Amino acid sequence: MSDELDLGLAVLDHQILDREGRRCGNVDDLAIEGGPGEDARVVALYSGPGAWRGRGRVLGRFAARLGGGGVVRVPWEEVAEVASHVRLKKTAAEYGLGRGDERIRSWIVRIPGADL
Amino acid sequence: MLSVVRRVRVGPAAVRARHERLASYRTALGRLIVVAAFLALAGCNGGTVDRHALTKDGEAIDSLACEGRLLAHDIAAGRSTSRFAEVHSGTLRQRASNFEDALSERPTVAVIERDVRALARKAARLASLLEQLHRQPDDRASARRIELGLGEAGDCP
Amino acid sequence: MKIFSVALGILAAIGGFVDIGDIVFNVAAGAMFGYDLLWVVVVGVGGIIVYSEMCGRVAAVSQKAVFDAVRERVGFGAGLVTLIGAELTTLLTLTAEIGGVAICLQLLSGFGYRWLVLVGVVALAVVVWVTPFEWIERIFGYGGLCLLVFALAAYELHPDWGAVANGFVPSIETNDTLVFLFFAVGLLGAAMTPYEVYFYSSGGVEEGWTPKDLGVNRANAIIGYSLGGILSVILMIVGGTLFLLHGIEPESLATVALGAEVPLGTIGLLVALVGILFAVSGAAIDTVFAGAYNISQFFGWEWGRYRSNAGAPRFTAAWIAMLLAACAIVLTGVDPVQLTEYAVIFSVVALPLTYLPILLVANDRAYMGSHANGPIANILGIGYFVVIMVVAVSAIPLLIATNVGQG
Repeated sequence: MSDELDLGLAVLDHQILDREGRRCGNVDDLAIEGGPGEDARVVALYSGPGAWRGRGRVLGRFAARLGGGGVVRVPWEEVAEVASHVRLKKTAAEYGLGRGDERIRSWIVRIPGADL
Repeated sequence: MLSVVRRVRVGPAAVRARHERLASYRTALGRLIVVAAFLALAGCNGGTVDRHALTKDGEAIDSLACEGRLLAHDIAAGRSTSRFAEVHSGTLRQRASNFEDALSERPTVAVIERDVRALARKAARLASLLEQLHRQPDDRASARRIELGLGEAGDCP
Repeated sequence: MKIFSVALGILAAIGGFVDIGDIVFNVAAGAMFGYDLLWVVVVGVGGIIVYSEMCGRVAAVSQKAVFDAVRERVGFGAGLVTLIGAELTTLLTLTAEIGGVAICLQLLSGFGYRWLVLVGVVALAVVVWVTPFEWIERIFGYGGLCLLVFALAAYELHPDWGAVANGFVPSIETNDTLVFLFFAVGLLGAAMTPYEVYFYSSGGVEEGWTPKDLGVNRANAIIGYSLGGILSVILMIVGGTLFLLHGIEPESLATVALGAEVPLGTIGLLVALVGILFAVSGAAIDTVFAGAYNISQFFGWEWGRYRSNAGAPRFTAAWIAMLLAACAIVLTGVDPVQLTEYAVIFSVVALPLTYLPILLVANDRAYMGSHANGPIANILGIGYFVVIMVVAVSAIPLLIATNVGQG
């Protein structure tokens, strides 16, 4: 990816899709390495309630606690494409993303008609 | 063309892109909503009956009477269903009773006290007529009488 | 064939446009001020058309619905405040709709209100759980068309059509200016209900709209909402003709139904009650989905009414939770019609929070390419933003000053 990428506009807070097009979280934070004066590189993206602590002041901290505080780190090399959404190279399960859905799915599946 | 100011801060572990002016407007608006909601709810109280409230309550009670009269008219003409008539007249009667209770018990400004209690009695008359309608939603003859009674009791155009 | 399906979609939109807020405010406004507020309804319909068209365009070009755009545009913190505001007003609206469903069931069956609240909520949940979404649109959209009985009622009431026409000329001539303005604000809020836009834009993403569908988006928005607005106008005419004449201030849905019973008799009453029931039920379903869409989009969960129930678990859990919360609130005995007035007013206050990000995104060439707002879209978009801000700022003061429209 040699084109310019506006991190603020095109990556942060955007929807993450896995290889199968499944929605598995938003980009809640980015990790950039390289201090002042050096070359800065995006190293990873973060997704999960733990990343909200720094982003919403009181509400963000409260939401982070409510969400359990977990956070998933996805190395930047795993990003296949940045278009409308941020698409990853592998499936959500392989990154540990979308676990909230799996947990709730185990409850929903018990109700008859869950696959309607 | 509209554009948005974006400020990007680089820290050792993360990048934040933030629209701070917008963000503070949002938070301010959020706080305003909370305060306003509180004020709105705080404004709902029983309170002393003053002349303004007397006028407004009077209009509301007349509205009840006129609506009851319309309903009674339809029942008398066989143009309603008994379930609708029963439920609707019951609701109207409940409102009339609430007015009767409020206006006979609440403290009032001394000058208008007689008028307030008279209005309470009017509400009571309406409540009793509507109660009759509620008990016999199929009785067309009685509905005709109640229609006339409601028309007299309320100031209906 | 395509025209046929567009026509069906429009029919469903007519029946689906009107919810309890529109019913309450339009009839009450007519009863208070006759036809003098008809022009405000037109302004409101214009507003929802502009807002929806922009959201639909954003959905078609960028595959993003409202809360995707809100979060991307204003960030997590401010976006979360917006989300909370949106969810609270959506929940309030949903509560009012469910109460309205129970009232209609009670007026039809005579059974106890609280039992019917439970029956109504369970029935809605089962319908949403089991029924494919296209069928939900059809059932409730066509059922809502029964509201057209009010058109016949309005005709039979013999209004002064000259005075009606005059009502479309903008003016504020009244003794009771504050109450007039309160109703104007309420009518605008009822026409531009936020949940409709959340629902519409999410629907656009789900339908897989692309830039080729921009024409469909525009047609849907303009024709669908205009025709729906006609129903609002009809309700105000009924209010202004029958209730103004008899000095009745409508305080319940039963009073609204009287508006069909008096000119048309028992059949009119029953058709009206069925129409209100379907319109409000359909609105309840749209509202609960809107609430689930918003939270799912903001947090990046899988979402969609075309996914199976288990295919989007947190989205499913969200709408179930919202339905239960609304049910609990209704069971406390709050009056749905009074609650509706608060729901509409608070929705108006929250309206700028989601309107502004959409306006910004619709203007952003980086997102929208050649489909960004042109000059006309911007004149309308910015013009309505000004209207929305004025209305949002004045809503709560008017609510307090007029004691919820009582004066």
